[in-house]
Amino acid sequence: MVLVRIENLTKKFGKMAAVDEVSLQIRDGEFFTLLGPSGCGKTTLLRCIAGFWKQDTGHVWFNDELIDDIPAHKRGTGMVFQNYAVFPHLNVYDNIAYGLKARKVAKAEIRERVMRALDLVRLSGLNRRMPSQLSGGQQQRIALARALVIEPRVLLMDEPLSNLDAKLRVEMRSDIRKLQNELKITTIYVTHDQEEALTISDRLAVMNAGKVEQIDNPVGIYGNPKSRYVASFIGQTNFIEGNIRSFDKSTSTAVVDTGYAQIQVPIAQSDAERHVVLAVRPEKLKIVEGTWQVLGPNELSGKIESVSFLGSVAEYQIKPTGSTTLLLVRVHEPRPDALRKMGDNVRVHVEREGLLVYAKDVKVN
Amino acid sequence: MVYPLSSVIKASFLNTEGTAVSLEAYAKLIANEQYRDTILNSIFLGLLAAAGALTIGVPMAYVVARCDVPGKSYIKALGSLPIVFPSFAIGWAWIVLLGRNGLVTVWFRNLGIESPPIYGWHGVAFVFIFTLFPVIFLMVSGALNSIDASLEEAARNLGSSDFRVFYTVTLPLITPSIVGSALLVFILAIENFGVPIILGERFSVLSVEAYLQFMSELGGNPATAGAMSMILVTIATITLLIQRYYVARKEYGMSLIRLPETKILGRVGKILAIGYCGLVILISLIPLLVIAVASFAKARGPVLHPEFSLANYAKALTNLRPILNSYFLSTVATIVCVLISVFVAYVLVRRRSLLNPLLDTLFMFPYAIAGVILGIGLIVAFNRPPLILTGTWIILVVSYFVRKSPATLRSASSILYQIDTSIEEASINLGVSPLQTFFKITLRLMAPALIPGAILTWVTIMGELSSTIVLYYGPWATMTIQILQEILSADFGPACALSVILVLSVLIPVMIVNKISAPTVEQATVSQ
Repeated sequence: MVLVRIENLTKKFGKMAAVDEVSLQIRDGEFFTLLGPSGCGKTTLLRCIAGFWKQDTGHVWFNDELIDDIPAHKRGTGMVFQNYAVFPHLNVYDNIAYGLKARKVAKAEIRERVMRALDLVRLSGLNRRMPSQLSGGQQQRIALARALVIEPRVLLMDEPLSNLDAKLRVEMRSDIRKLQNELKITTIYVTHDQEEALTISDRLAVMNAGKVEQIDNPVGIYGNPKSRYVASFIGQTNFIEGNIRSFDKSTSTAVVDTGYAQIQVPIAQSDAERHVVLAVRPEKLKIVEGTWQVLGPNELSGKIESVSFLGSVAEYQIKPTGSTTLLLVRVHEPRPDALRKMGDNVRVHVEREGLLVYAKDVKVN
Repeated sequence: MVYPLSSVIKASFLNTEGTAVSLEAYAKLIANEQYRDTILNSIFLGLLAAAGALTIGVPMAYVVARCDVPGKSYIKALGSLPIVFPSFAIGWAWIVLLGRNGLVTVWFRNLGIESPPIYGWHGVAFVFIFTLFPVIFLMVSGALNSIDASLEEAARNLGSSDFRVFYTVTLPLITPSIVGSALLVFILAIENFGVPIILGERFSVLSVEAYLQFMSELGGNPATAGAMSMILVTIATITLLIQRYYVARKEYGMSLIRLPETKILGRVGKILAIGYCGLVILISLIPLLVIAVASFAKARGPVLHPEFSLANYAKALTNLRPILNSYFLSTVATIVCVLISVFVAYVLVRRRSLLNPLLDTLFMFPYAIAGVILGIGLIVAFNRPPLILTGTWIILVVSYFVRKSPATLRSASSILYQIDTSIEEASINLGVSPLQTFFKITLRLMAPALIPGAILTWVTIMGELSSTIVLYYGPWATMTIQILQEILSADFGPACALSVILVLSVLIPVMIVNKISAPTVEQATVSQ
């Protein structure tokens, strides 16, 4: 039962605040991810929780215990490092037993717990091997077992999968999630890989320049990004700039003129002529059949600049007539006979549902 | 480090009575034709040694790095040996062979032929060349091996002949190493004390002259010795700075993905290549054989008779003190060096911004300050309160520490660099305190790489002569001192026997290190 609470935490390097006034609450047993590009402060925050670095201001609580002044080796966190950090001079068994020996656990119990941990990460039988004889994936499993065996209060993971190849990464990802579900350890996971973050987390915090931009579950983060930054960081998004031409109070709908299309967007309230940015996911743009003379509402015409066929998905880059921007359109399960060619003129419909509007980079609808 | 040096500088600027600041000593030095010659002699000798070592070392580096000759590993191991032996012992062996009563000389004389004398500048230069060429050999072959195959292939692909590839790509890329190593040889040559003192005779050089001046002035004022020291330090420092500046400007960062391909030689080429390397190694290692053989000959003063006898060893072993001294001092100094280096490296590596400039500066000291001069500096600095060390064995350890610790510090910190901090953090995270982690993880992981370096430090201290000769007193004479005294008093038999003991004391550890890790030996030899 461990709840982690971070309160106005700031960590500076020189003048630059790597983590800037961050507050978070991580629930007991939750799989929580810190997501962001390199340099956003996610690893710094994790290291402050582990106690390797001391924050300049703010507090970290485990349940009701303030741990700011507890040294790293007494915090009882289990950390899995990006480069595994398996002790190269110890065999698998001694690596996993290392933390138990430090806790002066009885020999028989150490043996039992190490074996159970090896079982858990599916490496039974390798206990006498040296790390140099193991693959990257196996080393990472040892690092995981080593962190789990001490029954940590909080499990911390710093980009644990980034050194593995793509296939292994997906496999390890689901293994980690399954283990965490069984053990119900509060887990804080750091990654820059948005796909990884979305699939593995209960909730995640998207970070940017030392600040938390949004905290939500994966569905919320993907479907309802609160800022333009989050929208651009998670998945692929078309950003379409335009000005509000009219606003209908009764239906709460505004018409945005993008220069090449008039797009109706749902919006709570608005001033006319306000500059806005629309975010449209590529799958919300639909190529429609039809005649070319008249454009309907939320429609635009354009020319296909490139075609990428990716098997279950086809992607088109479309240049709207009279514009220089390129829009990404994604078609799932494309019918082979319906595939468009480069140079084709097409009509594109912008779906109203899921259209997000940002003014000054903050969501307004 | 700074204190002893500043004492020398201070002394050099005092007048003969030691009462007022003056340039008297420098003026005297420049006015005196004999002293002027000494300065020029040193520079001449350094240039000669660098040129000779280049001529020998570069072709050998090319053969080992790029040609498919059999027995490469032996060439490499044997070719790097000469530098770990005390050079004056090698010089001494040539005296046994070609000196006034040398084996070859006597043999030729009996045939009625007067062989060329080994004494004087050509003898000194000859010994320098054959003891210092490994510096060039190792650094240049390292550079040749760090050129990615694709670069030369690209040049060939663009239409260059083999010769043009070498001339336009390979050579420019290894030039920094060639120039850098040649300058290093120059410095090592001008600072060497042991070889010129036994072979130089009337050909005087700065290091020997500074020592002689200092010894004859003991109790008086060390102004002339100080001024000479300063000139030597200045020459060495300028050379070092040129080397640093040049190498820093010209060194190209290259990523090595594929080792360059080896050249397939025809049979004649192979024979020539092996013959050449073999000859160089033979000449450089012959002295060891000579001393070994001579040590079992009957000796009467400087004349050796071709009769088997163990008398030399018996005589050499009657006084065990120098041998024990050498072992004791080397061991103590090595332990001090390693312990302090590990500690300092640990502190520094965690503050990386400080590390490199500091290391680079420190690393220059032992090269910039010749052993003799360091010795003089230590005496001048520590022969009066608050700290009197002159006349104790501790001052010897201090001097060895000053000379060797930059190298051990450098190797300790490069080892630490390779240990990712996350390994230590993992240990701390698992509940082991930082201090315990240092012993259980950090030190444990450093040990395999530290040991070869420590052994090499020990070995080079065993052969140390130039600062020891200034600093030792009576009971604390080391093996090297004992040998030198026996040579100078023409007692050749025991000198040979003791040299054999010294060479074995050096050779056996080096062979052990070679077995453990060949690359470390190369690194360490170059950095020592």
